[in-house]
Amino acid sequence: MFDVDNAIELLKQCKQIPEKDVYELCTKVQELLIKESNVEILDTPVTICGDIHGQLHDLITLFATVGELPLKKYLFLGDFVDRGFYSLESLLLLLCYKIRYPDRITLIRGNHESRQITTVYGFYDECLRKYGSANVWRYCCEVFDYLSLGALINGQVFCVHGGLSPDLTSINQIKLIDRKQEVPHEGAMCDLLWSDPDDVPSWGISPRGAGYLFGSNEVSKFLHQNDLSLIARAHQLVMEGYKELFDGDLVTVWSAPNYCYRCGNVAAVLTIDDDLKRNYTIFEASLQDVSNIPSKKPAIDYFL
Amino acid sequence: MNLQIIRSTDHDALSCRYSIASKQYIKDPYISNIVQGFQKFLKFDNKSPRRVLSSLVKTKFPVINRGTYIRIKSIDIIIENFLEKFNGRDVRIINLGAGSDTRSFSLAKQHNNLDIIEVDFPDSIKFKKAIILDDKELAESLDIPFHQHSNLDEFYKELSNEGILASRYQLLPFDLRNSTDFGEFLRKLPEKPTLILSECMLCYLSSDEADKLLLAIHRNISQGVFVVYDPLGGDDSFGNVMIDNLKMRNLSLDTLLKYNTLEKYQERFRNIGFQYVKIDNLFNILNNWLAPEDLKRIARLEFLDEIEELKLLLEHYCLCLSHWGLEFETNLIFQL
Repeated sequence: MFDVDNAIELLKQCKQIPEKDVYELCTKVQELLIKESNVEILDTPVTICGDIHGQLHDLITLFATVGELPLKKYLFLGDFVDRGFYSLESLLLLLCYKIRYPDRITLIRGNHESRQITTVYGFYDECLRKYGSANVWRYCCEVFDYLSLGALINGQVFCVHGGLSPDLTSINQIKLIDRKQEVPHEGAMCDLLWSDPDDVPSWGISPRGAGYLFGSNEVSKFLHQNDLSLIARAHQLVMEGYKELFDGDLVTVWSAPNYCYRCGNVAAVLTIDDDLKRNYTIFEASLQDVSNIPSKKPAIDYFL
Repeated sequence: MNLQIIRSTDHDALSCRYSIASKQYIKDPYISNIVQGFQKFLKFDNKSPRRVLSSLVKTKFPVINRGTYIRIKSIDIIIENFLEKFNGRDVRIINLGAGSDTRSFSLAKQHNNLDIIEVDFPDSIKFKKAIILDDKELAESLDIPFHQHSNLDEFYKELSNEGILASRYQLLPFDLRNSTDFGEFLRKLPEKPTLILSECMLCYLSSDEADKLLLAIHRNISQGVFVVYDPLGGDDSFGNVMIDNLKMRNLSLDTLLKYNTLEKYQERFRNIGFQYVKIDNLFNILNNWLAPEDLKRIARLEFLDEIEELKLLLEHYCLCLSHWGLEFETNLIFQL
């Protein structure tokens, strides 16, 4: 029988868990996620976390800094995998927490929780390297398809990985999306996971080749129409860990310190308290992570 | 710093070039010849050839491909400007620390008014010489007679260390950490417009070694265009992280933080005596130098998710252009 507490301990030590346990874990998580709405309803207080990108030791630092589960309640805005060296352990740790404390942790989908992106940015290769087959990657991708697309805190704070879509004016419309699929290349579901805020009058073409750029007008309209006070999103590296835009109508939260072991940024999480006050916690890269780079792994890429 | 460690950075450069050629960012008709040459000869040159060979053909992340493209393209643009400016006249290109760079093959084939001199460590020269002499297409692109070699062991063992001295192409062994001999060599060269290329090379020298080399170049070449591509430490933590990361492979970058901004890097050249010094970071160059249709073309080649990371990375690399003793005005946009 799969023992989730034991798995949590192993994963925290960056140890591998058996393939059949991964399968069981993924199946159980799917059973939970299938019941969740496209936009999960949450209450304060809750701590919102941005991209993790396989930086396991930094994820452990995050919990140690803010508070362990189940004492604190967490919302993760996606991008658990790719780029870092421990995508699998980071994802599985979060999934273990999800089945252990289902009401204390919410995971929503980022643009990297996709088959196509994970084959380019490292998660697929990591699974193959660690298990010798793509089975584990496939189980995880099945889970990705069930992740919610957003969350709503106290009916006031809309949380999403990327941002807004020209195809969506209300949160109710998001609820109508059939989310159980690979992230499409266009349309509302794609935009929620890919878009970025920018200094544009309304909508702009995204340099990422997916999603849109959206300006402060679109944010004001969306907030007004849905009776919201804030959009909290992740998706973009910010050197200071978080960045408020458009007079504080939107915030980007980034939780992968020294991203890719190269960028030298700090990370942040945002705790929304019962008065909807925003408290940011900044944390730095775990020293352990760099020294723990697996020796078989090539060194960090630069132009040399 | 250990010579083998500096030489290993050439494998990084080649693998990046290989990656963008296979992704169709650039057409490089000779890169597969070079990689085949590595497969044949690396065992004579390197202690872990299999590891190096597999790393050479490993696909790179889109952010690295995009950055490699602008690195290669920006230098190519300057070379094109140089060749156009002195259209038909006898000119020369000197590539410092050329390693396995493939530019020479295409350039030599297309421009018969061009002399090319490639300079690197003696072992690097011997290795490249073996690859060129054993490859019909490479040799003929440089007007070098080609002979088939049946026994590669013997061929490599008997290869002299003096490089290649062909009519239009020279491959010469110099350790640029000590530029006395190299300066003397430059002084004796026949006078003609000369473009000197330092592509991620100065950064591996100590501050003192680099100053002496810069001085030797400025003094001994009378009509020069100098193109330098280098990392830039920046005034954030990027440079420190880069130093730490590269320390893990025993690579040290002594001047990365000393000349950490465009201003300081420019000043460094002015202090040596270069008067006309233009400089910008590669992020600006990516946005300012490429034709809109080329930007569109590369955007279609592969999905780039790492927009902010690309900016951060490219802001920490600079391209510096200097000239003296000749007219070399271009329309290229530089911040400084």
